Amino acid sequence: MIRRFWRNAWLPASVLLIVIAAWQAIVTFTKIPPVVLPSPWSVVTEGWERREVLLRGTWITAQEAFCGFAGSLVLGFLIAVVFSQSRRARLALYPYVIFLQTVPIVAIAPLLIIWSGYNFRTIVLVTMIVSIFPVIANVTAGLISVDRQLSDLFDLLGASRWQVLTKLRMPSCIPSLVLGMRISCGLAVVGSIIGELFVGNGSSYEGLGTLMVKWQGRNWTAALIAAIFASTVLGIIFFGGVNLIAQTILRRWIVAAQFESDNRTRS
Amino acid sequence: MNPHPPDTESAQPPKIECSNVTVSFSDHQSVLRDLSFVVEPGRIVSLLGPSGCGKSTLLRCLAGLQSLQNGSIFIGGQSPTMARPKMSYVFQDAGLLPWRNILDNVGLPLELEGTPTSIRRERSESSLHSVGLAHEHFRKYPSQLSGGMKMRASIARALVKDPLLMLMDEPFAALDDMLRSRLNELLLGLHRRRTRTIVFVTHNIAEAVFLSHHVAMLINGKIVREVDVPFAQPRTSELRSDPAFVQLCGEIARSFAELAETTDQMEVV
Repeated sequence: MIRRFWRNAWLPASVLLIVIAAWQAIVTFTKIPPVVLPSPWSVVTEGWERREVLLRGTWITAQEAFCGFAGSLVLGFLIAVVFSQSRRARLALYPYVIFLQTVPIVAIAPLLIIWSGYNFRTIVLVTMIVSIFPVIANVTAGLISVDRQLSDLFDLLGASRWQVLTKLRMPSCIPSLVLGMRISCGLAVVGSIIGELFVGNGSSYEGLGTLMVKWQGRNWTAALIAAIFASTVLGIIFFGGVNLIAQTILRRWIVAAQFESDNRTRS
Repeated sequence: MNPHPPDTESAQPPKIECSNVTVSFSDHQSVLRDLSFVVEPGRIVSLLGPSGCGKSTLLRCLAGLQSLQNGSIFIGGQSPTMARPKMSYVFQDAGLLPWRNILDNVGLPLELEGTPTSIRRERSESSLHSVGLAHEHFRKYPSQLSGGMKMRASIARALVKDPLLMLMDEPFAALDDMLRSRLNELLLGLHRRRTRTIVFVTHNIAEAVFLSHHVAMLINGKIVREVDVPFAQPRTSELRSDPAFVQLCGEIARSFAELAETTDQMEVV
């Protein structure tokens, strides 16, 4: 497993090294001032000097992103279940779900602050608005598009609507759920940082977004880039977490579905 | 309104009566055209025909999965939907739930009825034994089994409620010839132990003749000819090399070729 990891990792790692080398070369051979483009090394040293603030900020952002992601998952799943059970509800409400996807979050964040205040809850709300759509869209599709043969089987066996939902639709939608979770978890980190940009400044929530605004105002470019890296790492950790869940708890459903679809493609 | 009173003796396999059945998916094209036939109780009847001739659609009608534009179907005097508790259906590619192990797949019909776990397990195991699936496979998932084993599990699921009618939609079409003949014999063995009415859809002439008491040949949504198969039960694989068997298969193939000259369907194996 570790060998496979290195086999997969060496190519992206080389790209990273090339980018850092090019970055260092630009800084060394041009006269770009450090406030515009600090050297990679100064980003590392600035980040290390402010490691406590950065770690605390990352932890705060992680909590907001996690709560927003969990909220999106639960609420998104429930909405998708309603959509799968009632065509009328789907037709009536789906356009408004698309609205969630298309609404410029920077435009409604101030409104949310008026309604909900400068607090953790508002950031979680912003995070949910940003990250809920992939869950609703993917889970709805997964719940609706059940193998016709299996749906006939449940029909023939006289299964109740509840039995069809819990014993057929929900298990077969798990691969779609994981797909939605993979997109949503990255958006949750983005959403929480956007939320902090509006809520955080001046409040006690010194998450990464708040730190970014603060450090940008002080022209601490190297520290700002370090915060950007921290947020990227946070996104990767979330993505890794979702993959870990997919490969452990949900493995049974995903492997099975993968096998069936492979078989069908082959035949 | 129902001209056929329900069977008084419910443990008897049902008779199937189809009259003037017409099904069309669009206004222009009928899939089944004014089709009438009868399946006597306890008989194995094959619906034989080329791809797209409507045989699977007819089976879906018998199961109440497809509504009729015209005509009627009675199973033991009941409508197909009402007769569902006494029937089971075997799908072409097994139709097992990939996230459930074999034992839980076979027990699904009982689980949906609310049968207690211990009884469910006992009956699922006995059903799996009856189709010759070894105990070591019970906890495996469908993806871990071969095509033949999956089909055995699918038949075990169809048998778990001890149905009086089995509807089978090309269940062995995807299997190789050797496996197909073994499962044909298994099916006949099961029928010897417990008489059921079986409607078997296939496009394989030898399979239809080997299994059935009666073969109904379909072309373009119509039954064009019905053939009684004279061979006595129990039938074994030696029958396949019997000159009379080979002759009957040849006769059916020729009959299809002659009848298909007027149509563009010549895909019978």
